[in-house]
Amino acid sequence: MASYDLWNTAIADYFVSGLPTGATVYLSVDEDALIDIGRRFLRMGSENKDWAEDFLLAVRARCVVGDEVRLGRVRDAAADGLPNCVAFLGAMVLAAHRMADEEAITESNYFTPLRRVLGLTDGESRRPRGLQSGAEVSLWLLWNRWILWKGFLPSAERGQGSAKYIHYALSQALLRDGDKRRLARVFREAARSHRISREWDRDKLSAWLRMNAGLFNTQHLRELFQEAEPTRYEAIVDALFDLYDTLDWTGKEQPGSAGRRVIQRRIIAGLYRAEDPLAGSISYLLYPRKPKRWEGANLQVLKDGKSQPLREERPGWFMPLWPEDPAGGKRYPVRGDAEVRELVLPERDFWIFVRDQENEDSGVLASWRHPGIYESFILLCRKKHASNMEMLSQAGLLRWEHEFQSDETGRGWVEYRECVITSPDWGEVLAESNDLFDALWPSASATIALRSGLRIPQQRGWLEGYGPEVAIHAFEESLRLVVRDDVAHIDAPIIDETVETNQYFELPVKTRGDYFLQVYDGGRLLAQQVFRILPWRSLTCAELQQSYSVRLGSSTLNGALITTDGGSSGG
Amino acid sequence: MASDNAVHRYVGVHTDADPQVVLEKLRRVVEGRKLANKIPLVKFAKTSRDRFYFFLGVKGWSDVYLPEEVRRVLELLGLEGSAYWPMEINYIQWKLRGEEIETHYFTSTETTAAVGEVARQVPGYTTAGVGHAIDPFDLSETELPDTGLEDSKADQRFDQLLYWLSARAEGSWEVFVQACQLLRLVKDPRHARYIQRRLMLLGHVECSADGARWSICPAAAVRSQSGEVFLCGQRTPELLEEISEQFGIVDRPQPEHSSPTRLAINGFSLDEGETIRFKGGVILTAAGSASFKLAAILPDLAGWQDSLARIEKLNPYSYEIERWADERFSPCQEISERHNIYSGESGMYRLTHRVTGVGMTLYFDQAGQRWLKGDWYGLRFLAHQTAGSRCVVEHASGKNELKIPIAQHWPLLYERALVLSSGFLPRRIKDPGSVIYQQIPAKLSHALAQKLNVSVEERHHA
Repeated sequence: MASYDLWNTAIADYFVSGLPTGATVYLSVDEDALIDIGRRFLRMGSENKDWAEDFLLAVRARCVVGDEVRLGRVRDAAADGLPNCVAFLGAMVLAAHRMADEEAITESNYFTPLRRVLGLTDGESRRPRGLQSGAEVSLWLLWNRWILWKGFLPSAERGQGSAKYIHYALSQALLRDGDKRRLARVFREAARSHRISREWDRDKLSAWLRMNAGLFNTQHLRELFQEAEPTRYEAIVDALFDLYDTLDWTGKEQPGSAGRRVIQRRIIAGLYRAEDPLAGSISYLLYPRKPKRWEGANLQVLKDGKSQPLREERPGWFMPLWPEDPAGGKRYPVRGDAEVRELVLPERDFWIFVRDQENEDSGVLASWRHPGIYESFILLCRKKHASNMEMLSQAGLLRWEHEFQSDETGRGWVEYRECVITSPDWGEVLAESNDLFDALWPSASATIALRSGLRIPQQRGWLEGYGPEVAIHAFEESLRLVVRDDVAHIDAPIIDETVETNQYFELPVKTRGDYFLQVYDGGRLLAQQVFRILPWRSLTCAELQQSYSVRLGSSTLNGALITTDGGSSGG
Repeated sequence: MASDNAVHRYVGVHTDADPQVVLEKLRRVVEGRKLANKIPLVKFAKTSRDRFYFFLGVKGWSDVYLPEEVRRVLELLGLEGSAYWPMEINYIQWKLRGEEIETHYFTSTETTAAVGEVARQVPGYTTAGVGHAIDPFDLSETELPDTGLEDSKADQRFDQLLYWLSARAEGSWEVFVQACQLLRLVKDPRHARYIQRRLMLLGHVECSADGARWSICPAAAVRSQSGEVFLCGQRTPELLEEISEQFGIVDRPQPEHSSPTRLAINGFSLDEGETIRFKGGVILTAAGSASFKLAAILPDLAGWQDSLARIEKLNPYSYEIERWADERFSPCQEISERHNIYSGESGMYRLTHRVTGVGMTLYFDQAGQRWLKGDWYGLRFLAHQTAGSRCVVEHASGKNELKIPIAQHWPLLYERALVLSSGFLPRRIKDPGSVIYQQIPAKLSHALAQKLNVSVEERHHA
């Protein structure tokens, strides 16, 4: 049996590894996650180990005495700052996943599976002894604070009414076990009838789900697809894509007590747009995305018989590789891990390129994410979409400044530059939908933008005394902004006021620390963001990746250093 | 949806006239006659045959006849003779393939806040061309800014700038300007270019050929002509603390407190090329006598000119052009281009885009038919030499100082060789306007002067 501390660390690492900075974290512990964690992060015992049972034994050993929950040994944090309660909270979320499909969310419907998870007396549906009402809140706040400290956004929150405390756990359970079984059947049937492909990327799958929500005929699944909170909706789509991407399409259950589905991952690539301003040339480079929750071996991708290592460029992404035709449809073998077989550039007829949020002035754009409100972007698409683009323009939904078509962008492709989405009313205006419209459809109602100040991208922060300006970009004229310097101070924010949107203003936060921003429309959370203020002493010399130099004959000058071809550095 | 009233068709015209003038006239006529609902937009581009094509988008047009109001617009602009219709967007994109198609929207009376006022302006992404609101290389004010700042803490803020640059590693010119403003190192943002230049002279920073981006230089320990060793390149408080634990550090301000502090390292005995590794992977390299090494590999003036970045496909009609002469820029009408042949005299020119206002300073080489971009003083030096002016400097052998008239300021790379001889920027004297470099042996000054066709007058001081 793996110890409670090993599970605690493994679970925390699993849910933050491979995530881009600023991503929202869901502690979505279910059977599949436990199998994944056991196989890849713990790597103990045989492949057929019942990881879920191993996990529960560890949690019970630490947190249950007799028929009572004891939280004394999980209230604090370890020396490295990791809360000791992560595994126990994971068990609480596992119970939420095990709620029956159509069960309403009530305390009794939740505590029944929780008691089973903790090995307590069966047949009862009340709160376990030792876990009095609200006892778990401080543990969730500790977890949320650690997430913020790591540079991510927390998602666990209090609910309303009688379910307000159990909502912390319920908010983390994106897909219940029954949901997954039902979804797997739908995906398999759709694949057999050629309504979906097995090789789509996330965006393509998301568009199909939106257009085919009627296939999911349970109340809980319908509620999922009607999720109004954009960040949560995106997390649900991520979970659905994770299920799709690792689905055993044959429909056979794997033998053994631990086997639930085939764990086989693909690396899906986007494109990285690089422009040489002097030569005027544009390249679209293959840009592999790290598999989620990747704790990896050294991977190598093979092309034309030669292997190239995949090295991290930033959290969530590998370094860009070679130029590719934007039409995609390419596959490359990958070596180095039994679960990762290939790198895929999906077949597409359009790409959306946004600026680097970490370094907006770099001039680089890539297919990192959906553009924010009023954020300019480049749309690269096949010429066949010209009429669609004109339609969007005339409908007042989208504008752009230039179109550019050259042999370099690929035959039949056009770049629409400085595009901006200009209205939220897509559903009211568009009578039809297609992949392009769906991809451009504004998914967020508001975005938080930080600019100016003295920013340190590699350290996710700004320097003390030179903090950022902030703007809330939205179609509404004003929204509520809440700023906290500690997630625990829910009732004592440092700013809680209505602000005008689309205007930058200076935040009155100058002292060092972590800050958490949230934007609300009424009671609905629209956007959140985290940043930190760092002392000057925390500055470290950055690695010199892009270094300009002067070529002088057979020598290269960089500052005071002269390097001769084939020789060493020196003055 | 409004598809029945959408723009599906265009009417095209072509013209050799100034496109900005045509565009402005179109805007006045369409908006003045309140026709923006009928003609909401125009697309245009220049073709390889130096002709401009305009395509007016027309709403609600389904038959073969040109709508009367559109015909009237074309008549008012004198363009009806070259008009052809109807066209669809696919044809336009095919017709203008390889060119950048601009789209301009006409404002109707019903339009409220324009999107352009709301949409964020994000720097960094440019298409071809190197325009910046503030040209990083333009030092055209003959009056140098007052860099003294009257502020005893200016050194500290310059040091902070260097720390931040070291932690960023690289970035855009715009971000550099912003940092200088935030740190109150400049009152006028245009003066940031002087700061960038000084940092390059001191071996702390390099920039891309077009000046659009900068990068911090690797940490180096340079031996001056007096025998001291001083630091160049990347530095942070953490690195300096480590260095001072192994060696002593002595700081001295730059002249007029105009740059990061010069830091000399005591007891540094590594041979040229040797390195020390510090925490976080920072490597400090012993650079030896960088000034002499640099002087040896620098090309002569013609070779330096050949190394400058070129601007391709420059359309002079898009710019207001001024030529440098008699120590200032004056309007110039002589530059023209036909069939990719440029006419006009060689010299330094300032080009300001007629629409965007973005400017850049270039050297036009008539014989080579090329527009060259480089450091401002360097381009001016080229123009000076092209005009046949004699360049003379004074070397004081007793003091080992080199005095250069400000009007004959050397190109940056050659000036860097002078600065790296001591680790100090030159000091300025105003009357007559000159700059004086210290720790310059006669051999160094003669080696550099010869490459630049400059005469050296020796002055002997006791």
